[in-house]
Amino acid sequence: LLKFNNIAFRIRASILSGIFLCLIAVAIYYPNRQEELYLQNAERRLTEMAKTISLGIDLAIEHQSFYGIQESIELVTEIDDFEFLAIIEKDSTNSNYIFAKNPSDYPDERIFERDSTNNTYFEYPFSMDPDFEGVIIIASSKLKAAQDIAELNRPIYIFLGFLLLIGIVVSSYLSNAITRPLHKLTDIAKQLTFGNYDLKIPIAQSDDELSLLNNNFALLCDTLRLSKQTNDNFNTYLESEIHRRTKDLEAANETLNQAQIVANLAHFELDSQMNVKSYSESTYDMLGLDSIETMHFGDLLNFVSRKDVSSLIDYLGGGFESESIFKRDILFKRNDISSEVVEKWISVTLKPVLIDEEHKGFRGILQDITERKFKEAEIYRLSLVAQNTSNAVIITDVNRKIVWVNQSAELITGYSKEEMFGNSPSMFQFEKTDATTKARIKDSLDKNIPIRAEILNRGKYGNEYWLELNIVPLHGDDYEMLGYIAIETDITERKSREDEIGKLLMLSQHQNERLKNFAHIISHNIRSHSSNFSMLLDMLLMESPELTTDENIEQLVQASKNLEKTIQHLNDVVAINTTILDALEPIKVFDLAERAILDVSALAKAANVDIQNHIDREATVLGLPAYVESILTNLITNGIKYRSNTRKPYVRLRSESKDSKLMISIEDNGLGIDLEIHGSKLFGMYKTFHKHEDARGIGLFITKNQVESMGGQIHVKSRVDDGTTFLVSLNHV
Amino acid sequence: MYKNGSSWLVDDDPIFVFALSKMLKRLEIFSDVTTFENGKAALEAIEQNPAQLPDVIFLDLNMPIMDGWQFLEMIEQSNVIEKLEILVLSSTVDPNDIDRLNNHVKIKTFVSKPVTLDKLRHIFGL
Repeated sequence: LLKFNNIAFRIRASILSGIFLCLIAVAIYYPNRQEELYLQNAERRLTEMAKTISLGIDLAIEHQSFYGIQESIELVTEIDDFEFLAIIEKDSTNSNYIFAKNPSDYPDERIFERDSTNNTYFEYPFSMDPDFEGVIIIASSKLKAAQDIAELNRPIYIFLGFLLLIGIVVSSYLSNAITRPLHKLTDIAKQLTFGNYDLKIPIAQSDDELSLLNNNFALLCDTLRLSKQTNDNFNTYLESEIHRRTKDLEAANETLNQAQIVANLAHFELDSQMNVKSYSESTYDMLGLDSIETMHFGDLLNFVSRKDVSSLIDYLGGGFESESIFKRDILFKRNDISSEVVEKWISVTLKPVLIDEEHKGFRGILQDITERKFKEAEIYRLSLVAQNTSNAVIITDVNRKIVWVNQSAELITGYSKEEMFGNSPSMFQFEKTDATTKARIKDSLDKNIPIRAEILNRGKYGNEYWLELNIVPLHGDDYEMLGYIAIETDITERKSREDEIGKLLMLSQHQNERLKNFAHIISHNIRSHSSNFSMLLDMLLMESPELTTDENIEQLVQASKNLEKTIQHLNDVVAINTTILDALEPIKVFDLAERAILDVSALAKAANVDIQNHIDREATVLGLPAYVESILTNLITNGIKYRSNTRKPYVRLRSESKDSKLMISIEDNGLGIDLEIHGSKLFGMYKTFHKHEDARGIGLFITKNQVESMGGQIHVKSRVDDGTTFLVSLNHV
Repeated sequence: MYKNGSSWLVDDDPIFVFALSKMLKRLEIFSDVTTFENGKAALEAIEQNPAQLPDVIFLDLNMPIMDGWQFLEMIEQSNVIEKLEILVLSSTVDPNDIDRLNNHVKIKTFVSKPVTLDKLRHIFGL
């Protein structure tokens, strides 16, 4: 009952207030009505009474007996309870006086006082006679009336009270009847709230609202039980799923870490105070720091160049609002344990972290690009070389389409890069390009072997140019084909020079041929005449022996001999064939030296010269036996001829293999040659004709020519009065 | 050996012809020496009278009209070559010429000018 907000109270209050209002209405209305009726009744009675009294008065006047009046008044008062009843007479002076009154002892002053608070006054005027007129006043006590009315009303109040009691009882019953199932439902709801769905709710059969509510609760309970079941299952599933996903996430994180290590990546996060908030495992490995935990980003700036620092500070200072991203390759320099400088190129990417427009710090990604940077630098240097070399450089892909050219290539061909890209280098060839060379190049490319070739190409503006091509197949690290690189040298000038040289060579060959023919004819013809001379002189001396002592004839014979000798030399020179390389054969130098020594043995013996042959017995050279023998003979003879008389003369022959050559030395301890004076002319023909008494002249000239015609070389070392060494080098077999 | 034999001297050089003729006369090898100015003249003489062949022909190589080489070629194609003895006399020192002469199997002797009495004596075994 004390709970004012429960449903029972509300029901009771509403019912009771309804009843109460009705009862109040009745309680107000009914007594008033009673009072009204009572007062009307009283008035009517008083009017009757007044009329009766006035009638009595009338009668009394008529009968001149006023005794009865007093009596009748008293009679009246017996019947009813009056306060008083008075007959007031008005005299001619209009003053009032009491004619009669009941109770007779009622004080007059109180009659005239007219106390309307406690009394109700009823006045009935009368006028029977002009001399007798007045007013009948009946006063009744209000208190008495109220008491009467109250007396009248008491039963109804009792009745109303009874009704109220019944109302309370009924309302209580009704409210209980309604709230009991509600309480039950409330309990159920409470149980459901606490998750107890295993309730047995009996299904009500009636179709009132509460039953429906009950049944709905039963349904709700079932539904909830089912839902709970479903929920439980779902939760179990969720839990396992979350578990699984957590594992996956961990695995993914691990994979990410590994991937970062492999990709030289690291990431970190800075708070708004630039403290390192979080970082991936690879971060400090990459930077080569022990730990960047509790580190301030500013500490890292010690390792980078001033230029990078200022760019970083510019960004970090201004990057709070914008979404701008910082990206820069930065060189980190630090000293390792052995205080050697370690350089690392790190690609730094920074991005501000903004949450609800508020700056929360930065997120950063680091990538170690040291290797790439160094390669780039290497490639840059190489590309500078390729770009700036005076050679044209053209790179093609595997399909032999041009993918790169340098400036020289543009310069030589006249085509721009764009015009060349995607085309085959055959775009430079034309009808005058040698088909055999083209085929040779193609063949080499097909076999993936390097090729060197000289080729005539045509440029964009019709200019023809000779190129020396060096084409090399390009292989990657795994030996897969990447394409070809062609390095081309413009040899147009060389080619035209070669052409010129070729023409000159031909010309000189012609001239040489003519000279040889000329020399041949001259030597032959002169020889014919000189031989005639000597024959005629022979004949003359034979026929006239006395002329032998004739000085003139003597001189003539000497002149004839000299002429013949000179012609012999001339023939020797002419006889040296300068194109005998094809006729060379392997020969043993030792054997030929032995023959040469034998040839000069008489001369050597006469001069008492010791000739020693220390030449390797097995050494062979490519040469003409006649030439080699002639050379050796000539040089040995020289050694004998120009011996010194102050010491025991010798000529020593030795040999030594050097690379593809055999060095043969012919050494003597003779007079020696002043090379400063004669050096340049030693092997010349000049001496031959002008100092013919010096036989060395033509001999060395022929020797040198013979050596060189076999592809060899001859040198001389000599000191005056010490000796001379000739060094002849000839090709090994 | 060739005493009273005949010999031909085919050479365009009159001085050489003069000198050689003198030498041959002095050595008294041949009783008769006929000279021809060139190979053609000698060849015509053979053609006109094939029966009258000399014992020895002294042949020069360098001659106008028909040189010694042409003469040799012509004579080698005829049947008289078997009956002839030819000595080549030349002032050539060209080894090619010497090689070339070796191809002519019939040529046994080459005498390099100048010809001397000693050389002739040696050739004819005197």
